[in-house]
Amino acid sequence: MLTVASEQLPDRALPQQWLLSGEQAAFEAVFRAYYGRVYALAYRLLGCRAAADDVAQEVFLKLYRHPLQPGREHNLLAWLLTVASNLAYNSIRADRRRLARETLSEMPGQDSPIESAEQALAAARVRAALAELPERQARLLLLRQADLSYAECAQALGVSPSSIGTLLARAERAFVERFTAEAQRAQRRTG
Amino acid sequence: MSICPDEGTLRAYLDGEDDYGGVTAHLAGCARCPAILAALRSEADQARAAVTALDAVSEPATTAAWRRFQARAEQPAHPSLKRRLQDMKYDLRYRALRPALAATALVALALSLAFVAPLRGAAAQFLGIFRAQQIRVVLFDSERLRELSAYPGGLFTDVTLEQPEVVAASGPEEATLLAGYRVLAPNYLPEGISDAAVLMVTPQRQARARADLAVARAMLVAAGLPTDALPGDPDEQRPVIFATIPPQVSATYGQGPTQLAIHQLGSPQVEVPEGLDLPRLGQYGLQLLGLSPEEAARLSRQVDWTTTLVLPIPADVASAREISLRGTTGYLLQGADDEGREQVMVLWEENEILYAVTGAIPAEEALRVAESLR
Repeated sequence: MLTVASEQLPDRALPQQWLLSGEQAAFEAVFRAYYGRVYALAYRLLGCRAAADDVAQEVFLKLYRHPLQPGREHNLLAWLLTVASNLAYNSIRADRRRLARETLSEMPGQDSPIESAEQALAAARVRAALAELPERQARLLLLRQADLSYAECAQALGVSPSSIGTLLARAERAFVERFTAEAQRAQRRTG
Repeated sequence: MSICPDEGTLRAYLDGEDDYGGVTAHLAGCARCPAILAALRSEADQARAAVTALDAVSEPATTAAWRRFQARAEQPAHPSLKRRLQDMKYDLRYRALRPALAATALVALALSLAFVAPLRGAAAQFLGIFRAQQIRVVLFDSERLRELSAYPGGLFTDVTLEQPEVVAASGPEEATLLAGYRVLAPNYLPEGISDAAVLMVTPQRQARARADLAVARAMLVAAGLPTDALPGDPDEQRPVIFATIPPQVSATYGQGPTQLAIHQLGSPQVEVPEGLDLPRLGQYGLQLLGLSPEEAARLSRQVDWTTTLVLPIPADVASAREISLRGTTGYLLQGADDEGREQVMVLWEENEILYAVTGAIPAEEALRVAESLR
């Protein structure tokens, strides 16, 4: 049974302690520190709690079973979020029709009982706009929203850091255009 | 007034990503850019507000998630995934070219080096450590290889190569982080081959082999070659050769006979014992493999043994010709697999990374894929 003591550690010390010590005792602290952000990114893309949790669990399992090499400089959060976006997009590509049904018609009470119908529909419109963007643009938006730096985003996307400004401006403009159009379509549907 | 910065510069200025003192000064004197900056800020704010609102509808229960993780972490990897990994390793090793070719090109490079070892020069004599920066393919008579393999006692014994668990990567970005070097992906694939890659990362491995210098001496004597290039110290007649093979990334595209594979491997580091006259031994090794004395001497003079990875390829397995690609020199190997299908391999080294593109596709297509890697 994997049982470890939970410790409050400085944010930067978390990955290093676990990587250097190799002790499972530090892994729980890493999990608790970063799970929420990994889950949040997956949920933004997938719009389903269960699917987001599956992706987040898979990300930490990858890390747990194959730790990054100790003694080297690592940005663990950037690694976790990059892998999470990869896995989420793999899931989206595998079942696009299922995602379209869930993002546009998912009603509260099935997945989020405390949400209002309005909140759930607004979230669905945001995910629909994200789904219409080229994948790289959507990933950049989400990684920046997760507070990854330009350098970290560049590494995650395989582009030069100097191109992030241009890519981000285009991604935000494209998103706003699609989100606005989605909101107008919704308004016409409801009269 | 200075030249107006482009949109990307203005957007980065908004995020304070760099020292844009020049932008600040420009904005103070430009009638156009402040309006552009304001529009960028508006779009950024709208996008952030919309995406951030997604979080409000769902809060993760971390403690419950940790309990679920504990339960999953104690389970073995999914058996179907393990079987898939085994099948994938089998395909990668045996599907493309014959095992001898695939192995020498990609997987057990230290062992292939050891087979024609020792083949390194001045630097190795001092440090016993070298790392390849370029490749040289040498075709040899495989019958000679079989004769040498059958030599009583065996030239190399106690051969070990670590077999770590191969990891599936979700994309080039994760593969890059796992491998520790930039993993390239193709921008071009032949028609009919899916662009959905299956990426497998083999972690760093250690290999070792013990060389029996008495056997080496007997081989040289039998071939009429001098033995003074070998150390005469009786206590050092079975030295150990170590190799560190960096992480390998293998990407496969498509399935079945049209499958295309792209392999990337960091340059291996090999340690050989001091006291060996490595250039001469390399020359004699090539002669043992069937090259004439003149060919062996010529090749030995042309090659910088401190930085060149010499890959022996059996002549009855594949043909090889030197090619120019990506600003460097590589090789195009062509041969038939076990099912008789014509296979090609484009092989080159770039920034101390070995690359190979393989598949049952026309050579021009393989070259185009290789050129498209970014």
